[in-house]
Amino acid sequence: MDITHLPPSRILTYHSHLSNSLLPSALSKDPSNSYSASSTSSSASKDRASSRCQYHHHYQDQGILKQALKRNSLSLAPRDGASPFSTLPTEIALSILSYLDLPDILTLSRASRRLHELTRSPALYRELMLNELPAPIPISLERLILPAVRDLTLQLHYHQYRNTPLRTLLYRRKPNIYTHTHTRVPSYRFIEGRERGPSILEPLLKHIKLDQLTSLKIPFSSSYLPLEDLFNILDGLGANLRKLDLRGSNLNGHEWMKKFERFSKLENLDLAFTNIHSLPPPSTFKNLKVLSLSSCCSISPVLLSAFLGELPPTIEKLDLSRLEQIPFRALWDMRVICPRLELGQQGDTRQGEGLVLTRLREIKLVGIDHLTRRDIRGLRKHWEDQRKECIHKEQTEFEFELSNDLPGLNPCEWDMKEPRTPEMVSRSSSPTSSSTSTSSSGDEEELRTPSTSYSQTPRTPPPRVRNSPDQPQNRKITLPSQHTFLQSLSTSTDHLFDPHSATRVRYLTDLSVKSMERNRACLDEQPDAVRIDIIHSAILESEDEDGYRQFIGEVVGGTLDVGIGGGGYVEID
Amino acid sequence: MAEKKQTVILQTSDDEQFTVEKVVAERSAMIKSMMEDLGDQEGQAIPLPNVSSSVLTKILEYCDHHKTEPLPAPDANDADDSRRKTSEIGEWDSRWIQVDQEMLFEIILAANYLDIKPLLDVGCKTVANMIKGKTPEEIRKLFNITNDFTPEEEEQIRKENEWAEE
Repeated sequence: MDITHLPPSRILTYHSHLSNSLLPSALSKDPSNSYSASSTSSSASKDRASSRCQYHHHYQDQGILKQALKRNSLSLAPRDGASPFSTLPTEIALSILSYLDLPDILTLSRASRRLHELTRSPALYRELMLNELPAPIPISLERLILPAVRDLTLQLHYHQYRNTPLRTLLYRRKPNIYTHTHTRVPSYRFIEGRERGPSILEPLLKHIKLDQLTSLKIPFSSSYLPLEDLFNILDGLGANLRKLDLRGSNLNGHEWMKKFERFSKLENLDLAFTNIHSLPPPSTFKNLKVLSLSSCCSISPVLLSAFLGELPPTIEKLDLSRLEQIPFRALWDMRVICPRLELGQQGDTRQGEGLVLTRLREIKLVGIDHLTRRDIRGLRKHWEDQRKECIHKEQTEFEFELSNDLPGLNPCEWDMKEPRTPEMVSRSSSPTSSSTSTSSSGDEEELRTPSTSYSQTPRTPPPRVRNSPDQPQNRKITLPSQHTFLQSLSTSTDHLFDPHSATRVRYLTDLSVKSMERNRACLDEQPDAVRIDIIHSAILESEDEDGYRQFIGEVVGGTLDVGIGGGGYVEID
Repeated sequence: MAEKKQTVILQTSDDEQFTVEKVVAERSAMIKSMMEDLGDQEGQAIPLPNVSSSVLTKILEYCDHHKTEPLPAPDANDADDSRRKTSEIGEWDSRWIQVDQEMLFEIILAANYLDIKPLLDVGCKTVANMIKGKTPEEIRKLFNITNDFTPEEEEQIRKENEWAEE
């Protein structure tokens, strides 16, 4: 019998006669029933008897429990007049207060001097969410709360879509504070004709220690926060910033990137619904985990492709929703594995030998109409194959390195039917597919080739970046172009036929042992380490127009014969 | 069931002794580290001078129910945002914590002393839930708190916080 499946009262009763040592066996305050610890074996039977008796006494009859429940519903303070709250150490009392919303904290501050004192602790006001601007700024907000804020969310766009009387919804977790004073945030477009004074956020922000904020969220600020004011805020922010949400702000063009250079600790960045034209180099964000670029329709396909090819390896979640301009090829070539980073001598990181998985776990591709379900499946397989191969290679690398002096040409991983030309070697240094033998042009049909041919070439050559550390130029993974191909061709072939590989083999031996261990651990812990979740809205099966018509027709007509006569168009997951 | 489980003996402030399964006692980070320090000394009781037997009985019930769950990481402070954010209490826990106020505060103090973080959270959340939505006067009554403000002071604080009132 597994006691964990039983209600507590039954555990106690069942247990008491099965084992004397599983559970607390002395419960009664009656001294005649208690026993001493030294009597471990001799008095075992006595213990058993006494404990059973006690459990029965305390629990089998649920009366006491019921009484307790009844008493609690009244929640009365002890009758002796002492305040239980005053017995709590400050630390615990603050911990209790930390579960309260702002209005409850402020109410509590009126109960007594001690509670008032407790509510002065800045630790209680780390997070603030403001849905309207109170005017004038109340004194407790100004002196107590705003200076303590480290995590600020301004949702001032909220009430602009409401007809209800304006109320200040000021809260930390739940919207439940209302005030009598408020200002409607004016849309700056209406006051543009006049000479613009300080930002409307100025009265609020001047009390906030911007440089100490760790999180700033100003979603959909475009109607009230001109770019100039936004830049001023960004300039005031400190290097500790971890989360920044500028969804629907007035960020645009190229200039904004400069403002982001300082935020090296940024983990969470939301730039959705902005008009930005450029993306910063991935090296800007060394710690970025979550990035949203959804609906940034002004980023050029070329830039997007380049960015995805060098995606920061720390990224875990990526939102590319509604980026209609994104070429399929850019997704196909997206970086899902990356050269391992090693600590250099000066403490800087450099790229070492071998490849590791990037941290990417989830990608959102909602609302990209040119993606079909077949594309999505192809991408998933392509990405996961690269990762599987990467892990597999790490584990087999060791033996291989010793038996073959030409690293990077592991015959078992190549489709042997294809001639192994120097160009193949060069192609292997960028994460492109093997299906096209020439570098790709912008041609749409050409770009589609990978997705349709993945099934014919089951072994996709993995991206290979196998350079000795002193050849940095070949590490760059860029959108394939004739030029980079030629460049990588020359460097990688030189390198591959390097006669002085003996020392390198030794170097690799050390590394591969380490990485083998790590990757094996990684595989053991997470069997789906290679997996990338794709959130998409693709409903159509393929790009083929006739196929669509037939598919849709069959769906509408209810004649779809899945799996038997579905033809070449319908492929069911 | 038949196999012998490892046990440990706990001694409360009122000199009661409890023989407890180690995996249950380990819920308390304090007892866990003490067991590690003591090593394998059979029959050596661990003194808990700050915990009474009635409170320990109650707490052991909690520990037994949660003994199969993973122990929280010792340095889980920033990482447990999600735990801090929610004021919800699990179903079993909320039934279990339905005790009188004196016991509730004793459980909180003992959880703090024994270093059982999840239990401390449950206790604190319970007290916080009792405070929510009450007026200052109701809070005073609830916890036997004496109003030690002068009328002037009270009026001033009321004014300061007026903006946040309904």
